[in-house]
Amino acid sequence: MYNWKTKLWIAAFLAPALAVFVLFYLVPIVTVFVTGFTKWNGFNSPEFIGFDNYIKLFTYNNTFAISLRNLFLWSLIAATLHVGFGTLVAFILFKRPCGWRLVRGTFMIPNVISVAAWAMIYKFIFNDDIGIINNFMRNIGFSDFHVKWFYEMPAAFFAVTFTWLFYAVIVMLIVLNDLMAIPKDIHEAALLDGANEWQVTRYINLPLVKKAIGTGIILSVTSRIAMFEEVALTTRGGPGNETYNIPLMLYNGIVNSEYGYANAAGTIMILLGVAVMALINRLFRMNERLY
Amino acid sequence: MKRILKALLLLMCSLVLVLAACSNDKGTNSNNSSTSTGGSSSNTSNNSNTSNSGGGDAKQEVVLNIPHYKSGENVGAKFFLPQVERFNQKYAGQYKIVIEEIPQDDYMQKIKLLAQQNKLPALIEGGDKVFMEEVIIANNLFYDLKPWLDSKPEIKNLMMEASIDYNTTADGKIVSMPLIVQRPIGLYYNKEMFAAAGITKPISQMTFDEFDAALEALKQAGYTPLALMTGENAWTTMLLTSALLANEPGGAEILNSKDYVYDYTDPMWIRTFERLQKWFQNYTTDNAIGAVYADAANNFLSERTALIFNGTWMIGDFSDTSKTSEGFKDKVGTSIYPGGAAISSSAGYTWWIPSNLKQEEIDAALAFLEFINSPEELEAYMLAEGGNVPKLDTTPEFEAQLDPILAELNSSLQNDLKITVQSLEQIWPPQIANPEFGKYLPLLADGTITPQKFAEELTNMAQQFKN
Amino acid sequence: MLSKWIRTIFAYAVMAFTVAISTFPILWIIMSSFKTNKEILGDPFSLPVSIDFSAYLDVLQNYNFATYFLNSLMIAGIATLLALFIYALAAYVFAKFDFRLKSALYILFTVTLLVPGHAKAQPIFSLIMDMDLYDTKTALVLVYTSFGLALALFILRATFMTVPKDLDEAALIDGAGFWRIFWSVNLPLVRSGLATAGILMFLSYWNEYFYALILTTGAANRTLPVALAFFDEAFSYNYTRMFAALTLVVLPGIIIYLLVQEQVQKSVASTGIKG
Repeated sequence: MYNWKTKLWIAAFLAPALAVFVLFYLVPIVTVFVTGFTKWNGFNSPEFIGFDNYIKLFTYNNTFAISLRNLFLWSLIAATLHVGFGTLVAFILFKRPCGWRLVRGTFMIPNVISVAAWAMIYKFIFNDDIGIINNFMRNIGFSDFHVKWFYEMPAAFFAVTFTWLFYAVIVMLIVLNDLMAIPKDIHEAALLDGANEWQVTRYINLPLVKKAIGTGIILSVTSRIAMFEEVALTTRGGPGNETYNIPLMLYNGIVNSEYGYANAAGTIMILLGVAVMALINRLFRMNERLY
Repeated sequence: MKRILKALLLLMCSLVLVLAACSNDKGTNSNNSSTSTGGSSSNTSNNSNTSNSGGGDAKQEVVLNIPHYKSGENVGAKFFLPQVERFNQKYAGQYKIVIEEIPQDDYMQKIKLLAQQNKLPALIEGGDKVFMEEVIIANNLFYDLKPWLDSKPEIKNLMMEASIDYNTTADGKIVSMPLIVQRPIGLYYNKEMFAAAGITKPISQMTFDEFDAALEALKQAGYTPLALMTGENAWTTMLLTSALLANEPGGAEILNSKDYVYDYTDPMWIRTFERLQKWFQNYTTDNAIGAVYADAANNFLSERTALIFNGTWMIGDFSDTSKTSEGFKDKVGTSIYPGGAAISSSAGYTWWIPSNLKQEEIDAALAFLEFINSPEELEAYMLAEGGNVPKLDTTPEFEAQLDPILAELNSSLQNDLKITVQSLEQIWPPQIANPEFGKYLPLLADGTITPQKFAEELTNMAQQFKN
Repeated sequence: MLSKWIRTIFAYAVMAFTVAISTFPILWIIMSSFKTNKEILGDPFSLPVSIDFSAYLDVLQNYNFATYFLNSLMIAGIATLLALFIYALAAYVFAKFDFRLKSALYILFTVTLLVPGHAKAQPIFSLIMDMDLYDTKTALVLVYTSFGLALALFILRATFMTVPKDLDEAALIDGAGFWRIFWSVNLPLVRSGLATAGILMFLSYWNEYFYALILTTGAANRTLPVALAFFDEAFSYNYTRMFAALTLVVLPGIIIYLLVQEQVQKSVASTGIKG
């Protein structure tokens, strides 16, 4: 097809990216996968122990069960409320009401600052002494309102959820973009046919942004799988182990020099991510040509 | 399918190429105590490094970069940083120690990471049992202090026997500096509040039942008794729990065990936790749940509570007007715990030196250790943070300067001491001490779990990474 | 009609809610940073009695803030430039040429999106240690560069595909070599793609916390997000200073964002379509 010189150039152009991929993705993922079957403290060589790490992860105590429960609930909330809210805002902004640019601009701000900072800000908001929430509740009459948001259940679960629940700007932008890409003729034709706004929304717009919504769900659910700072910097998995999730178990492994255990947790995270993408793809029939 | 196989083949080839390229780096890696080879000029390494001063024949100043948590706003920095400065002044031009700030919670983890890469700093303070035994001692990564100590009898003779024993390995090497100063930990109470509540009996002479009654009396008089906390390592709560356990039959033995304790389901533990739960529910501040050390300290310093379980390093805060009101110090009394219990221990690793240093770095590190154990420095330490040296005769100036609160603690010790125990933090696996104990406390405190369940959960957590 | 009215009110309520939850937390922190500790404890909602910058000055002067800021800037900046270069090369080839392993490679690169960054923590940590780069800015630059792989490839490939083949052919006829065609003909035309990918990557590197935490230790190489964690311990009871520190850490990101707002909006949305 091409002369050898061109082929050389092609290879050369691909090489750096490939090196990055191998060094920072391939090797780590293979390591994670393989050492998940070993006992390794980072100093001595890994010792093959079969599925022991996984068994320990799953059955040692109820931590993994709680992590899965949390993940399931959080994913459900993400896929429905979080994405739902983002989509709602997108549809509202689509009509270009007065001030829509302001909304779009400010909505982005929470994503622009780091998750760590955001978690810390929320730690103060939910603080019992000086935080807004409790003081507000006390001001409007619940003078005894002293919920320790990050230290009691189920408050802790909701508090952690709230730090990301309504912050759906990415979903909003993706959906909004798809909405704006719908050819105007379709809308005009529908209106001519006598459809009212609600019908246009329900039967035309929604189906046409299905792919965007699907992407939004994938992105938000995989974020829930990998969510670390929101939990680690607020509840640390507490009270007890009620707000634990898998990244926290991985981190525990690292801190205790049980790298095999940590990597078993990592493998599970990767598999879950792949599963989610496959599932949503199928559900929303989002198969796309890749090249 | 075929495409994927081809992809894998291509990847294998590139993998081989990459590994070949990388293997060169590994050769130059180990035991690197010079500045790191990263390439960017703004790198710093955690190793000690030698900095060159000026011209040819001038003696080079040895600079040690030491990460430590007794820096910044940490409560230990108040004494430690000036001490380092005094050392630097004494050895100006010869040795210099530069402290790198690190939060207390992260200190040990960083040390472990550095140990993994053979990049330990020249001086390390402390180390948990498992890490020291399985990694440092087993792989001989420490510098044996015995020859040096033998050559310094004036220091060695001050050291407590039990601590020397603890620090000596099976083949006679000394791992870390044995302790000279014994620092018992007690509690502080607000004398005014106690008087107002009509409590006259000295705390160290009370049983815990009587102490319980005293707490109730304080509450009736309108004061919140205890400054407890659940954040970080739940320090004040942990001390309180240790004192409680010490008064249970069999508790003192457990607290003094040389190994980690992984099981907390014995009835004496349950009774302890029951009491703890009751006190959390009735006798402490609202913000105890989730409070960190600073909150608990603040509660006592701003006179919101009558008691705080804490060590002698807090004394400096009592006269610090940025933290408390004028004259607060006069209201503060101190004592050891009910039942005549005091927390003190000579079991533990203190300062140690890694084994892969250059000779001048070792000399610098040893000079520092000698410095901080000289009589003047020891006295300065005791004046600032309390404690006593059984074998040192203190100067009259020392006695005169001794803080009245410290003097009070010393007399409480002398008169009423019945049991000396270690703190729970010393017999708990590190993970339990921080964060698990603190994380389960809120559930215990609000009654979501019973003391029995609390014990079971902690036992469970303790055994998870038991080796 | 009533229902239209209700819909409008509902729409504006949602919009107001969105603006509120996005800005209020930060505004509250900024406002509180001007109050004394006593005021904060007294009434969280009150306006500060006076605008007192002393906490800010304190944080800026005594806590190495400039170092952290510069570190974040340097690391994020260099990583972005490096990433743009590496991935532009690869994206160009993906866009313009066909070669045997093209789709296989593309699948592999795409799959990296599914891998949660934290899962690779331990191997990457070991890798950095083995390369003797622990606690260096270089380590973070390299690790961050790798994070942008999938995203940058997507965006840049799509943008390169919009450059008409005729231009390439014309250049070829004029005697330009492979590199010239890439560098002088195509690259200038994909500026918007580069800007898009660059901004997205820069923002995510600027805010990265986890790897900065485990790969650095001393203050010399610390970045802003990690510095926050240190401030948290340092200032635990001094809320004024903590809030000042939070504001200082958060503000640069917001300012940078406001400057490049339009571009960010477009870029974030466009990735959605591709991905």
